[in-house]
Amino acid sequence: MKSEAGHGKQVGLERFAVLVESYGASPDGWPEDEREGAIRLLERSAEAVRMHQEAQALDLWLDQAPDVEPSAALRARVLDAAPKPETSWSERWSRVIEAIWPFGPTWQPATALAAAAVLGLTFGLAAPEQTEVASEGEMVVAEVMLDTGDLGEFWNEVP
Amino acid sequence: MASSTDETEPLSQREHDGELVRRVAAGDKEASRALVDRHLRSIVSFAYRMLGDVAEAEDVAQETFLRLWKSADRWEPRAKLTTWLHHVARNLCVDRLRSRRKVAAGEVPDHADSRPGASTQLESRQRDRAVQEALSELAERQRAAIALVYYQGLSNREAADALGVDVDALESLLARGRRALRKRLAGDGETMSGERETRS
Repeated sequence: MKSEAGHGKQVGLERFAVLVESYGASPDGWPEDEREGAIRLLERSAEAVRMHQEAQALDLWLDQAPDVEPSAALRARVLDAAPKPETSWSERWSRVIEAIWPFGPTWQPATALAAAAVLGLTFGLAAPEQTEVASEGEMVVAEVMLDTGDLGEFWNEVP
Repeated sequence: MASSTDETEPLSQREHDGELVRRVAAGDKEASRALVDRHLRSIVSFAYRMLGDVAEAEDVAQETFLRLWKSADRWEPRAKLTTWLHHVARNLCVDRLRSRRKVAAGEVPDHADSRPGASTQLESRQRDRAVQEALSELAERQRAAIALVYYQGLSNREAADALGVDVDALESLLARGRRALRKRLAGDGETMSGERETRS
């Protein structure tokens, strides 16, 4: 509350009635620019004192109203719904990996996958030449068999 | 009760709230926790004054904060967080009160003053219960005005902003609400029907 004299608006009895009827008896609740004027009027007017006492009586009633505290469960729910921090690309990737492999450290399956890939590549690169040779051999045999002509009857043979 | 003008609150408070909201948008858990610690209780309390039901008040508070989290990345630093939170919470409370009226339509004509022996029952209850009941009998806008200014300690401008009215209209709502409460709590036999606003 300000203590300097001369600050704030002058407050007449009519306005004082509005102030206590609206904001109650406590000067802390009165608009700051009218507070000092209202207090000055209260100090010198018996009618203002009477109005103030009426407002005080109602304030005592209002102060009896029960209040509530938020429950711990509510607090937890509210905090749980708060925005989550932005995650980096690597953190999001880790979550994907964890969803795929939820059994613990991922180095074991990753090593196994890498080893399988190396083996696959090795065999893949080595195998085609042997397959080609075999194919040529098979073609030669087939041509020889077709050239003989005497095998045609076997082809139409019903088992 | 807090002071009644914006100027009395340190500017750093508003700036601090704004900074916390910006950090929330970036996913800062500590900032979320700080905002919840600072404002959750106030919003639950306000919703309880409006609805008179703890479970519903918590639902409203949760939804209010969910909306804050969703709006965090678009937060306007000029807006005051307390006012914004109360504005959202009040709208949610109004929705629930309207739903209640739809459910109760045709079943309970007017539970305020038409019950036989209502004043006798009121006198026999505890004071706190009587006050809560008297508050619940007020028109929604009067109740919201009293809750925002008297219980929540919002300034007159903040409360007016939260209600979407000017300060003169706010004072009118407060004065009518308090007069109605005084009549009700004093048990002078007068009903509050003359004070009650037309409910939309």
